[in-house]
Amino acid sequence: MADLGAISLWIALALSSYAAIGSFLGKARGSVELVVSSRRAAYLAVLVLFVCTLSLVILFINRDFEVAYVARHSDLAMADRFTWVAFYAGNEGSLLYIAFALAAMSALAIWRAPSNTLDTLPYTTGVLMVVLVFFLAVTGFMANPFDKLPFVPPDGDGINPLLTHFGMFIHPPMLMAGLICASMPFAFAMGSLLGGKTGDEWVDAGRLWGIIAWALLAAGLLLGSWWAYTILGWGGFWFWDPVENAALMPWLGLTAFIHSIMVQKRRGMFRMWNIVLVNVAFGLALYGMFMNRGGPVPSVHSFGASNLGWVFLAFLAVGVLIPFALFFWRFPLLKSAQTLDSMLSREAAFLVNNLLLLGIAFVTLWGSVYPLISRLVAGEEITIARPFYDQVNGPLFLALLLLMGVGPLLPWRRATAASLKRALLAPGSVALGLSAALLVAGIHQPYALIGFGLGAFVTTGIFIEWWRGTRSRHRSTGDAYPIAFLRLLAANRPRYGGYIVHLSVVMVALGVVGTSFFNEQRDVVLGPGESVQINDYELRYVGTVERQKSNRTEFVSTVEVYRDGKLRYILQPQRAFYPSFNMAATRAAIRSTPVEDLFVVPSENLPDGSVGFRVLVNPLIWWMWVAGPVMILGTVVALWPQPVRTTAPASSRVARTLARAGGSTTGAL
Amino acid sequence: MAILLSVVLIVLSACVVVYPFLRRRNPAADDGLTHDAGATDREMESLLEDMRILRLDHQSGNIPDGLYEEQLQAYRLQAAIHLRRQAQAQPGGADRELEQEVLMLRLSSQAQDLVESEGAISDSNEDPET
Repeated sequence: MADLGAISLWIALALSSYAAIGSFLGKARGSVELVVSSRRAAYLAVLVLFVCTLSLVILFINRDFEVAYVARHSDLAMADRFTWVAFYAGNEGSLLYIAFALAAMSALAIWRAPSNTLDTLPYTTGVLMVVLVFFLAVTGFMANPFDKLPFVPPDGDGINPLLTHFGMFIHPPMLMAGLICASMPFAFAMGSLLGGKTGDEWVDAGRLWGIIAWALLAAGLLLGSWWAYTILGWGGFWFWDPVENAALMPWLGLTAFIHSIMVQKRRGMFRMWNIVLVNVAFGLALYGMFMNRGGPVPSVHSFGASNLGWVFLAFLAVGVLIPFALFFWRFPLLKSAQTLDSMLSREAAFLVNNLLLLGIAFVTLWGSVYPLISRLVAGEEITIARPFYDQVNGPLFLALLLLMGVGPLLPWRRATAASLKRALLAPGSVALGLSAALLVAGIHQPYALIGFGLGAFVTTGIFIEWWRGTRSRHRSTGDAYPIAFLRLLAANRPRYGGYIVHLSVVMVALGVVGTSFFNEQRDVVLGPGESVQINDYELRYVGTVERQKSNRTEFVSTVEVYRDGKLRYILQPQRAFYPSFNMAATRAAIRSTPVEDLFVVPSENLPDGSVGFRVLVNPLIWWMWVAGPVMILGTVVALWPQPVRTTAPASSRVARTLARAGGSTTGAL
Repeated sequence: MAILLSVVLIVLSACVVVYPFLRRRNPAADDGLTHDAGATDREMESLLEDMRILRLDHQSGNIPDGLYEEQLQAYRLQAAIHLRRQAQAQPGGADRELEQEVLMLRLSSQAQDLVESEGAISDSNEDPET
């Protein structure tokens, strides 16, 4: 099976190399046969990589320890359900997964490309295949998952304990797929530039794939935060770790892009800007790969050292320089058909939104690379910590939230003062009213007040729009309100799907504000029978049970939670020691409600039977985790395709359509 | 077994790559270089959807009149280009032309028809309560 995997990997590399060269050459020489042949090679690469991927999965299932990668990331004690996680536990498997995901998405993008991109599709295919060749070459030559050991060890090293968590089944594949999916809009944009089609031909495909990449990254980021919250044992969800930042930055770039591309679609504006944005997003995605797979800085997210850093850095340099060179080459042709009419318009709101997002991305990038720069320049690594990000990015995020509320209420082209006043009056009043009420209730942190107020502003704006539309439909069609609401959503899915996504962002903001300004934390050592008070909770430590497992020793503590003198529930946080990794892993016990989380995690088990606990009360964090499914729902609504209507016989339709239209528009040609 | 499967993959790859060069008729015809009728229908439906959304946005006051007319004309032009491309790729006689004429008429009327049934949305903008 290892041989089949290795051979199929080389075949995939050959196919993608052929597809890359053939696409460019075929287009340049006008050889349709070569273009078609290259495209089929790109399709076939998916099948071959599927065989390759399946081979590695079977090797894991069979625990074939002759294969070095399998021996390093699994053992006989590993449950079969973790095979999927073990697959990408190291660089070799991750790179194979990335290559497979890229090949599959590329094939889909090429197959479903809109007809107005057909002329430049060979270039798009060529760009995608160049990226695929890079990943396959690195996998084949430098991180081959099918390399064999000179001997067969009796057992493997086992899977990293931090990966044995439900979130790990989805979080890394989502993030990796999201990062590589940024290649799709990039390839359509580059294809457009290379083919000299510098208009709006690539916009629909770019927007579609931009949203898919954005959604994958967003889901991956939220799942990663949830994983960090439940397993890393410090009670937070975001550490501004360089690898976390590396996933956040392309998401910010893509967020800017999927908003800005709407302006090009609607107004034919921002053509240059969108090319720049898609280049930036792709560059940041490559940077994310470099940080994730190249291993320049140690991180809880890297899961192992890597010597691939320089290769990824070189590809990052090429992936940034060549697209920008292309951009400058085509610069004179990229002039937009329209100009900005007014700063009080939706276009202008999108532009400011873009600048804020890029500002946050730049601050985050600077904070992430500063340790590397300081190490290179001063020989001393200076790490940028959370306060820096909070102080700089916090106000930028609040400004973004404000714009998220104002932008959708502004019309295209130009707003009048009267229409703006009418649109903002109700949401603004609710926001100010809530902030005032919270101030009276004793909340005095300015950022928290602004954050809650802006959350209310955005939510009110959305609900008012929904209410108006639903009521109108109800009046005009007689539909019941729920039906009218659903039909309203269906009538303009991109718009209302976007609103649902905005609601999910407000939910995330609620969680961030709640935990940043109002969380309570106690670090205590408790003996059996002892108690600790936090807010209105009283926690009584009962005792710890030790359990021997095949690969670890588990310490399960029992904690009773009292409120108002009554026993409410029992929590059982765990701590486990893995001798083969010389590593302890924790599993927090969390009682979660929409109001607040009670979070208990054992930090240390002492010989006298007492246990060191970290206890936190995290207000509103529940909303962050609910935001994930809501965001996915919004994305699905926004992207849900219009069903293709079946075509009736022409004779019957002629009469019907003529009766309805009363004229012909063939003059448009 | 693994070697046999590998040989199958290699032979399959070679066949797939070489095949377009061996065919006599235009290999582009069924490989996505020219879109089939289904794909064109999808794009036409997508254009209709765009026109419908444009109309909704216009009625809800998000798009001023001038921009609405500009956009609608641009969409009509796109639709016409699609139809011309379809006609060039698949010449099919009088019935085909009739089909295209019907599609064009649908474009000009359907956005209006669909939105008229949802037209009350614009009322909300004029509603003094809102």
